[in-house]
Amino acid sequence: MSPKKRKISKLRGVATASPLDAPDKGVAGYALKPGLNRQVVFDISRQKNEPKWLLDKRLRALELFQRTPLPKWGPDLSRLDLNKIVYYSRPAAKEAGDWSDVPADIRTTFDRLGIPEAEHHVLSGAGAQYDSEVIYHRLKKEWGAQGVVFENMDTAVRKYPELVRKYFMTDCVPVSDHKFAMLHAAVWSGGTFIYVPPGVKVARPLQAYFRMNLERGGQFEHTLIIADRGSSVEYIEGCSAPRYVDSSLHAGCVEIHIKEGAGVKYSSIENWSRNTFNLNTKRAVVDRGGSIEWLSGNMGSGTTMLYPASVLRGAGARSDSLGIVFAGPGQDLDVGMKAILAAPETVATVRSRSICRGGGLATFRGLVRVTRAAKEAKASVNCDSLILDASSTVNTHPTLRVDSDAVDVVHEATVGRIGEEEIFYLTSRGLTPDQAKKMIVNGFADPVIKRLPLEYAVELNKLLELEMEKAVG
Amino acid sequence: MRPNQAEKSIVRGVNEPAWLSILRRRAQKRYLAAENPGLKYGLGVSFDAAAVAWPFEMRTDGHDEAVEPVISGDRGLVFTLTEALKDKMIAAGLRKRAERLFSADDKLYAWHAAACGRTLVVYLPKGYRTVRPIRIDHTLTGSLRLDKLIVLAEAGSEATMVERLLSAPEQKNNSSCRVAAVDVLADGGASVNFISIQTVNEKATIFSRRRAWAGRDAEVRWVSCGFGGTFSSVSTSTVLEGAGARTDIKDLFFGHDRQRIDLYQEARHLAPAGHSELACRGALTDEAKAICRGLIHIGRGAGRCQGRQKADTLLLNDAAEVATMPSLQINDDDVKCGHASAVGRLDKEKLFYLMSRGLDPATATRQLVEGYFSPIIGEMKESGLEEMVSCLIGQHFQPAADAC
Repeated sequence: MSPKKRKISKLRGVATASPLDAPDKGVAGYALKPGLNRQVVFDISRQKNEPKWLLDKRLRALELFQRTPLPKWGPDLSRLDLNKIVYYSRPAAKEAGDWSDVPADIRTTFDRLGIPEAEHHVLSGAGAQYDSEVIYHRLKKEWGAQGVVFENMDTAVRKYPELVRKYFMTDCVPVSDHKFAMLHAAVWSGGTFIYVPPGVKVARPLQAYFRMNLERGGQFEHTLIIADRGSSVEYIEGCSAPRYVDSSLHAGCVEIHIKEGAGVKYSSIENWSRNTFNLNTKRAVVDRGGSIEWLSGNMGSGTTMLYPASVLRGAGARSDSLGIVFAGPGQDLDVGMKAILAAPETVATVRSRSICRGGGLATFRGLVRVTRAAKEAKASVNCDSLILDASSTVNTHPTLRVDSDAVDVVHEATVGRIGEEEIFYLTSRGLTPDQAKKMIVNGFADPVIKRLPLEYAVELNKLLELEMEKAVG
Repeated sequence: MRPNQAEKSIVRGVNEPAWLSILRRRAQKRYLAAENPGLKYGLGVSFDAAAVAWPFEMRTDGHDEAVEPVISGDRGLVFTLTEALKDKMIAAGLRKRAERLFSADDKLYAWHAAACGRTLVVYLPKGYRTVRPIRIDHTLTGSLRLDKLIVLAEAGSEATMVERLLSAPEQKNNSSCRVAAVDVLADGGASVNFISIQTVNEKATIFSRRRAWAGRDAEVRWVSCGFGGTFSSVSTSTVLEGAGARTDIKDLFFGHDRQRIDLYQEARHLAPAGHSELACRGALTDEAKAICRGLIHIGRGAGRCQGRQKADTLLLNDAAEVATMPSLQINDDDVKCGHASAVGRLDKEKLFYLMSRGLDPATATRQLVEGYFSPIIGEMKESGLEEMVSCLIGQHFQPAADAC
């Protein structure tokens, strides 16, 4: 850690645990005053020069948001002061198509995260968002030539109005979906828009990285992915924020439309700092023969509520989701998965692994709903948890709701700790007990790590190791 | 209900001691303050509470039928509340645990605690073992029946209790409601088995709340079989408050027509080295609907506990509906806990196999369903109810000439 950063953390009175927890040197730009009202929504819309229908949608969402009470279930949100959040802040930088055009201080941040390098080697395209605005976006030429669109969401509103109007917060995540989807719809900014034309299979992943830097900031990026008939695409999202004393809020929204026979793989590693409220909405609507694959890692944030959902509305649609959660001291991570099987021969699998230590709270909350139309549908849910010490808590609340007799639905969950025998065996082979513990935790997370693209697997492994060092060190 | 009406619902004039009257009044207050049960358990998992005939909304005057339960087996151990309060030993035991016995979390049971007069007390002295099961037969004859059973099992005692609930034959077309509470207090090393079977008519509404507190090395086993009723709600919970306590909770149900079945099982581990097994096994046909919820809670410091929870449902018809919600709340690392649930249909291959051996489809189905239920029926060995349960299940496939 550089002397300068150490100074910052000392000033804040907060120990910065990982390099990503340190705030970047401020990039003075434009930020709205904290708090939320109609004027804030007007201001955001004016900043972006938005069409009227979008402004109307924002205002309707705001009205709904103000009328809707906070959810009565799940983690405690009382520490989240919605009036203190800065809902829009724009860094003093324009969107660039080349990393050398990105201001040096912002670039340093993303360099440290390894985005430019990954883009060069393994990605088809990359985007980076800093607070409310996207500061970098580029798609490799070959994909652009085939009609693939990979744009900043704000640009997409201008360049592809019909597509956006048809798919943006309509039947996938309607504006009225829930309290924080309403908030998102009112103040969203930035994010990614991806359109893959029929039959195009994008060979390498597209990636976006979201960095929230402002104290008491809010990030509300919107990701809209449309995979047209028979196409396929893989998209990776990474997120982080520095650590401040006051809470910040992330309420993003991901909408994925999967047309007949198309396939989307969506991976995200969310590593927000420990004072972030991560109240995120992710949902995919899958048509006949399509498939969605969710891969998620939840390591950071103080409080998370995140339940990626798959709506399988076409016959033979599939959903596969795999998640890993690591809850450390002071964290309340309430994550899960929803699958709605509403057509014949649909298949959904959910696998979740949670690890908690040091008083952390990890909750799995799942819902599998099989409607009467889902003949010959199959669903399986599997969640395993590992508790590393006696002060931590694991909850699992799965729900299976089945209205059709021609189905097979199973659920299984286990909770336990690392067995003495396992540690004994490994120590008898010459490992120290700490190494043994680390190895077992890594093995426990392995099914998830294996499925990640290599670079991410390395990152996740490092994050796990970092967490474990705190646990055993 | 207006307060003065509620006031009427309190039991009066049965010469109850002052401490009990105070508790009843407290329960009544809670009842008046509480909201009606919502029957909403999660996203899209609910019953229509408006369609349920809540007993506290019925007219309360002259409702409670007079027919007392028939008790057989070890008759000498069963007392009415009035008798029990006259006996110094038992009265002292009741008073010591009174707060617990007359506590209630929801509106219905707060009302029950205030209004229920018909209370039986089973007293098992230290080291006592029943030779035959204590059998209690309830027959629904009127529109509303409230009853309560308190089991005081002193250290090292052992007992099996069998409860049977049915509608009187002349009740065929009348709707009725029963609200029952069973509280078991099992002291160190005591072992209590409670087996129940319910075959009321299709217009009856049934509420059963079963609770147990298990002391050191005590064991409480619950088996319950539900067949009848338009709406039946059974909630069974055991608090394992002594080290090494064990509990088994097994529910069996067979739902048909438009039956609504609401099941809840809970094991609360507050002491180390406890063991709990929760199982729920049912079949649904026609337009029946069931919600099976469960919870295993491990308190902080309750290490070396084991808890298993299993919920299986067989859907025999497309219009039947089930939701299962097993939950775990684990606050200690030294545990082995898990749950599993499965929803499915009869295995077509097994059916085909049986038919290829000459069985007609109805018999083959019946055999498979019986096989599916056999693990829970096996738990009822001592009760003498095994055959009856098999017969009741079989009825759904081949209407028998004579009733079970």
